[in-house]
Amino acid sequence: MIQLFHVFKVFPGDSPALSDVSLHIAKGEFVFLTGPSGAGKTTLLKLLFCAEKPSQGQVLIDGCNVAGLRRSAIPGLRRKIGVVFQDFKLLADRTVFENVALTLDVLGVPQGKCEQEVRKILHRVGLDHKRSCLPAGLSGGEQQRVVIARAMVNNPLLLLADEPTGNLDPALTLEIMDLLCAANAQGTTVVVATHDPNLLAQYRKRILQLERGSLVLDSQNAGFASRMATG
Amino acid sequence: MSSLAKGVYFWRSAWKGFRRAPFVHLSGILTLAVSLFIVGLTRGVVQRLDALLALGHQRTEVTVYLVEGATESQAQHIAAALTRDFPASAKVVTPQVALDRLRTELGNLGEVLADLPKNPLPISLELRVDEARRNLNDLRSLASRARALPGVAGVDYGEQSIEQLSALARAIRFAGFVAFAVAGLGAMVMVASALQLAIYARRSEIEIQKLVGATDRFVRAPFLIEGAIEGLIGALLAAGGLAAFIHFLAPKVTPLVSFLSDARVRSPPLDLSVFVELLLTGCLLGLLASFAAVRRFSRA
Repeated sequence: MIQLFHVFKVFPGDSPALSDVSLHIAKGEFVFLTGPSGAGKTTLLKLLFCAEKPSQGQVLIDGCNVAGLRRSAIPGLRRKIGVVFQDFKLLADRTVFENVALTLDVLGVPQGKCEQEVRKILHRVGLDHKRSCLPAGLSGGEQQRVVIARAMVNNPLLLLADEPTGNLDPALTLEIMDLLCAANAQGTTVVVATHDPNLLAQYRKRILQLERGSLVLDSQNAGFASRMATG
Repeated sequence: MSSLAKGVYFWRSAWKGFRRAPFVHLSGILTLAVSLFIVGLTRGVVQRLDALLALGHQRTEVTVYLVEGATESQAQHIAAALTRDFPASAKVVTPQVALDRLRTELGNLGEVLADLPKNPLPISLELRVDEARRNLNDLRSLASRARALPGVAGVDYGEQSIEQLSALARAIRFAGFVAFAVAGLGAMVMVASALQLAIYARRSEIEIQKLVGATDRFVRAPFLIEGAIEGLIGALLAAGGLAAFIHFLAPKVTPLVSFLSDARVRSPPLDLSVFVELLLTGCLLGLLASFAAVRRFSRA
């Protein structure tokens, strides 16, 4: 699903945000991307949803090379990817329903089908009863669930989540993680960027650790799981 | 994936755009309406001048004045020379007939002519040109042929007034074009500014749309529709203003420009072609302005 070959990303006047990163994530995998602040997690996610282009190296998403992608081809790729942002990016003047429907509006889904799909996904994330509320009237956890619903409503192949539980208490964190795991169980590849060690310990999933832009650890390597278990 | 659904979405978004900033859009619409009103008015005046010019071009008569002392037989001789190879009928007007006509035209004032020591009017020829040759070029060539004949003092076929009218039409056309260019440019700037504000107000929505896979065309379409609608409403206002002007003000203004009045020239209240032209021009200006606004935003 995702392949990175010797990827570098350098922002002018700054040290490399990513340095020689190579990795492979298979279809249907659930992967945690971890590391301290400034390690390059968000930059890596941005490369995956084409918000940035690599300075060097190749990024392949579902067989499509992001590095050589024309500007006009980016929307097509993004329609296969759902993104959950740390800052939610919800429209304050739109209802929960309208925020989620935005994804389907872009795809030109007819109104009847759009309504049906949005109701279905809102039911899945437990927010059907709040579909007419504005984001300001929701709790942090509910807002995050709206964002997940918006990212999931068109059944993307890949779901990227940037610190989806960063501002939530443990109970809400659990709710959100359950939703992401449920999406993964239905076949969606999920990549979650987090710096929360409890989350990594609680969910025994593959971990990719970045430090100063370099991939320093891949839990697929033997012995990692036991190290996590002991402490 | 239905393009109908997208179309519905675009119109809905455009309508929401109007509702979000009605006054900004209204200023754009009014500026467009003013510039299009100028276009329509200029077009109407020029149309009337053109109709008057066409009448002038269709003048039927050329008057040839002979030198003082010329005789009727000389006049017949000149008439024969002019009508030999030009399809026209000639009539000799003696000084006495000319004086009688003048007296009739002057009405009560005609009595003063009785005090004249002698008839000052020369003998003249009235050439009535056949319908096929009633155009300015043929009349001009006939006049120059007449001037070249011995015994001819002058020729009149209204050339000066036709040329003055042509010059006036040219000047009004040019002034109208300049006024339209200035007002049109101003209107476009207003519409583009209104749309840029609308785009700026919706930047978060655009950002999210792009993140979930919207193409540039999808993002631009509602703004282009907004621009076209602004142009259309501006054009409708201009057309309404013109209709009101023609109905209420034109009858009062026309006597002030009596030289433009001729019973044979009748303008319709609002020519359908002018109406269609206004609507198309309005839409085009609105579209161009919105295109400039979204293009600038896309670059940013």
